[in-house]
Amino acid sequence: MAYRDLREFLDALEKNGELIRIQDEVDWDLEAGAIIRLACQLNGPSPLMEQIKDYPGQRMMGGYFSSYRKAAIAIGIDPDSDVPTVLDAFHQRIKHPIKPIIVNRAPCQENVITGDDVNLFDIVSPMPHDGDAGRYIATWQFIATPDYDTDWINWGMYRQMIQNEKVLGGLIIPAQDIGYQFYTKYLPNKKPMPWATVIGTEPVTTIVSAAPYGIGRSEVDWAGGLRLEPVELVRCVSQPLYVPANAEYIIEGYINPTLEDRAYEGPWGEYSGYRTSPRAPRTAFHVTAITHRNNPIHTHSPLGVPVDDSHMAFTILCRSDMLNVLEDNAIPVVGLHVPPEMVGHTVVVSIKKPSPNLANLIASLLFGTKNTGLAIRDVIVCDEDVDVYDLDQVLHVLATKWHPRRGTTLYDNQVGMPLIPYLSMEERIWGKTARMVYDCTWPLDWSPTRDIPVRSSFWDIYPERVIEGVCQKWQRVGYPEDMKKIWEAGKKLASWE
Amino acid sequence: MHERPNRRLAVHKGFGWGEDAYEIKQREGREVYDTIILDDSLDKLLQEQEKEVTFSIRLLAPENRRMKYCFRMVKARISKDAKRYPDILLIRSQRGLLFPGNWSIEVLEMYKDLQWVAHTTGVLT
Repeated sequence: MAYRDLREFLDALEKNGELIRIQDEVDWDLEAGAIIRLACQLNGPSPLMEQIKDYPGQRMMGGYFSSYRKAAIAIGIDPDSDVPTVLDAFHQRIKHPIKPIIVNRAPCQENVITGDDVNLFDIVSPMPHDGDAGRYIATWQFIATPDYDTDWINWGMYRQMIQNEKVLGGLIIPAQDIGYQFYTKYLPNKKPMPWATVIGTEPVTTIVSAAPYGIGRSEVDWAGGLRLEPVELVRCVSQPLYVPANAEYIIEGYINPTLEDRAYEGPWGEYSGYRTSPRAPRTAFHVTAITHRNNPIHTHSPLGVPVDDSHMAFTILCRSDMLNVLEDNAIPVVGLHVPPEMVGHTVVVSIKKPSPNLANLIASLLFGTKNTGLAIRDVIVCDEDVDVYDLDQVLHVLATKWHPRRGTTLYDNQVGMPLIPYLSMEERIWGKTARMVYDCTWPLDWSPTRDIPVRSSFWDIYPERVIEGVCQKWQRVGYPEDMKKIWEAGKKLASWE
Repeated sequence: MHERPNRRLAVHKGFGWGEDAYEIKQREGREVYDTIILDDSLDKLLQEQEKEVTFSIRLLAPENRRMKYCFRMVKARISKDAKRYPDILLIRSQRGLLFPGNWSIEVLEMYKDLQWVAHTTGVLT
């Protein structure tokens, strides 16, 4: 059964040892962000901070989706499932979307603030990192925007910074879905674009907004599929759109249909682990209403070095997008991993290799996908004997099977994102980058008996009877690992079946 | 990953993280603001001294602490001389680093609206 709201999910995290309730007073000014950041860097439980300085009655939390374990809890599967099991569970559920249902009364509207009473500084929102341009009310949330002339409602995770009591600033990139809606529809038709920022849902409803779902397709259906239950929506109090009824906070407003209504925004520490986003005049989001639950919980992600919620969401959902593309093009994929440790810039694919140059076909397909492709810098392609979810194995094949000349293809003059740290300022401004393919597969024309060597690992270089015998006695001779169980689970793979 | 402290990047040495603004205010009895500039040096900002300029500042020590980091557009005069004008202005780079040394500011007018203003030198925001 799906979690009804963030609070039910937090109970599940706590039950599994993945939540710590902090009763000490915590300062929203840097301290809350620092606590969440350290918890993520230590791969620790999520902190729920129950007493926030200056904001009695409001709470903050973060890092609730920053590991495969937490991701498994989010969709109600065994927290100790292995990585491919978690990833495949998400991938399979994504294929079966479920439409939302509309409700008339909603917890997210237990408190309603409109008109002159609106003051964004009355909502607890963090100063995430020292040196950020301001208080980012929206770092782990999503913005819902209705399409101008269809019933599509886009959900996207776009940051928002408080400018003053009633205005937020944020980055809208034309290549993103919200940018498509604004720049190609509302702006030319000179109509204000309604929006609603949704803060604090159970994780699935929020993470779907962090990955591409496609123009014209509402992420709420995707969330329903992942939850195995529909999302409940309620109509906003001041704007013509619907939002999750069980969210903690909703901020409603509009964007003026002009390029003149701008406010400076940034810098802000980004998902790459660096503060890359330059300061620039960006979109002004005007606020018309704030609604929230009683004793609400603000969800925050002080983005930074991996692994935090953003890397995990990208790893899981963009992987599905990429897998769909490769499956649609009949690529014989064995495994596909977007290691969260590499912030989504690197994709590792293992294949059964029926034709030459498959690595470049894979790269061309992945580089060309909308949104997902923008972030990728490298594609590493391996043979089927590499466990792509084991980064040590990936590093090993890079060191031993990748030929610097024959195995490398540079893709120049590619479309890039302005947030990528290694790009020069000029490249960031013009959205230009280059990409690379590392083909770590054995060449098809190499002889299996003369050219292709045998890998010397415990699992490859010994006969099965020896492997079995060693695994049987492993704990008996004094080692802690239960190798008998591990061998039983994996022996099918090792026997070429 | 990143479980332990690591060396900091040498080229960022000197660009401090900043003292608590309320402590500065209490010690000096002056308001404390900061502004984020678009250039990577203070050269262009020096040209904005001693004249009326309109730009955005952040309130770093407002009476109501909830309002900390609120932006306000101001018409003001600024100076590299920390004592020339009544209040304190800290300068941050567009990557968020704090330049060493306080400037001073005299706020002539403060506006609630935040409209982007084009500047001749392009350094103020």
